Amino acid sequence: MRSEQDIAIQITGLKKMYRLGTIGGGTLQGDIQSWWARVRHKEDPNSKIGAKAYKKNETFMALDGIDLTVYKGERVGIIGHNGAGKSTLLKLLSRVTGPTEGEIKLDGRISSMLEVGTGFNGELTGRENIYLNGAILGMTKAEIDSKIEQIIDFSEVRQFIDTPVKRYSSGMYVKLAFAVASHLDSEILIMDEVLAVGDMAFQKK
Amino acid sequence: MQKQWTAVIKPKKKLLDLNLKETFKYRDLIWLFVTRDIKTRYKQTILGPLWFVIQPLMASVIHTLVFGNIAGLSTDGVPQFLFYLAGSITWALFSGALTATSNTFVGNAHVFGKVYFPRLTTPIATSLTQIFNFLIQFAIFGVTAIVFAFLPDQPGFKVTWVAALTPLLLIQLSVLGLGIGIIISSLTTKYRDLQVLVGFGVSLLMYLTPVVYSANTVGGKLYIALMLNPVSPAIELFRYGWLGAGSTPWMYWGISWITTLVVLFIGIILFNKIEKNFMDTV
Repeated sequence: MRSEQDIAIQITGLKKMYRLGTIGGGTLQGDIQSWWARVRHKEDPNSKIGAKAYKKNETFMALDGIDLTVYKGERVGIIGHNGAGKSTLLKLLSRVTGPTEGEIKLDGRISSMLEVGTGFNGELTGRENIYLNGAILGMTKAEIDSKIEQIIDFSEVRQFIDTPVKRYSSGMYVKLAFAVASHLDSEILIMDEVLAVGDMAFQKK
Repeated sequence: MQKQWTAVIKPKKKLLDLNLKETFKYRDLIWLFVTRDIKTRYKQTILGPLWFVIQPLMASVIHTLVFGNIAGLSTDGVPQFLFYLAGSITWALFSGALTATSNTFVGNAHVFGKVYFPRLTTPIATSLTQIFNFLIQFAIFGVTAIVFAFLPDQPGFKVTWVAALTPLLLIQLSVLGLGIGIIISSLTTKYRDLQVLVGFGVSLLMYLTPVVYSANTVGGKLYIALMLNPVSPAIELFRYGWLGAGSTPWMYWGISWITTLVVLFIGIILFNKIEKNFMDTV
């Protein structure tokens, strides 16, 4: 029997609500106009003619009460059709956006690979980008210092490590980015269709 | 036994949950952002970092020409060029921090949408970069001042003890710029109008601040209105400190500190409220 101590992720009653239709007109003036029209029970001057008018309380539950427990050492894949809420769940787990209700409890360092190479700056060299990207992913400078050689070896781009990454081929770029992400030493790793990286030899790693 | 969780993700309800501890944990990231900004700012330009130097000097030349010679505004008896240089570098610190941080959410949406780190690190790093820029420009100011001290036929100027307050003035100006900037950036996630406003609003605000004129030339109620602009006392004091010109509006400086801290506080609260869900509206 696995105890509570072995839980890595515990999700209880997780809900994420999105509002349907457009959220505001995008300008302050437009929103005030629409609001003033609503107050007087007139037609909204900003709504498209013939468009279905979404009421304020018409919402869409992308996630509606999810309960999930993942134990340490488990590998969990989430499969579903388009719009099932897979990516929304991953976004909530990686704290890109917040839930509407419910909570997620995590034990262990979390790293999400919704995309590799986030925050890469084309003007900086490969080495500088390892530091920047590593820090964005939550590593401290000391940690990166101790792993930099490993990361460079893993990325197979040692020859070009002091060249600005905008001169890299797209393959080199992604391999470098993936090398940083894979050296995070995190207990929880979230991935969203990113493993299609590099050539055959690199993928085997 | 109660289990210790590393992190608990909940809908954010508390208004004062400021997350400052976590932001401090990411100080390495702040530092890397600062070095990135400095390194990449003038890549692929011919003059490179020289632009830091050219900008305030050019501005002061134009100011001397327009406000000093054509309009003939008083500069409290100190060399006009130095007067305008002191004004423009301090103003640039404030306006730079404001403009750069006001774009935090919209400008970084591609990064914020993919990975979590305390969002406040970005505007803090931006403000630190502005301080770095200021220090370079301040060195230029120092060199120019020494040159002027040896030039014949120039009105004299003196450094007073108020100059010792410079670090406080710098902190105040960048914190104020940061505070207003993050308020604007929080509101621009939904309303893009403010981005337009920032552009010309900042350049108009400069004329409501004693940058190209001395506060002494303004009298009565207008002076009070001018000094209630929180940027004004700091710039006046900076100029009084390094050139011995102008006034020392201590009371208004106190008021401007209160304004600064209130703005910063509101800014951080708003920023924290927005950061959690802004990806859904941006």
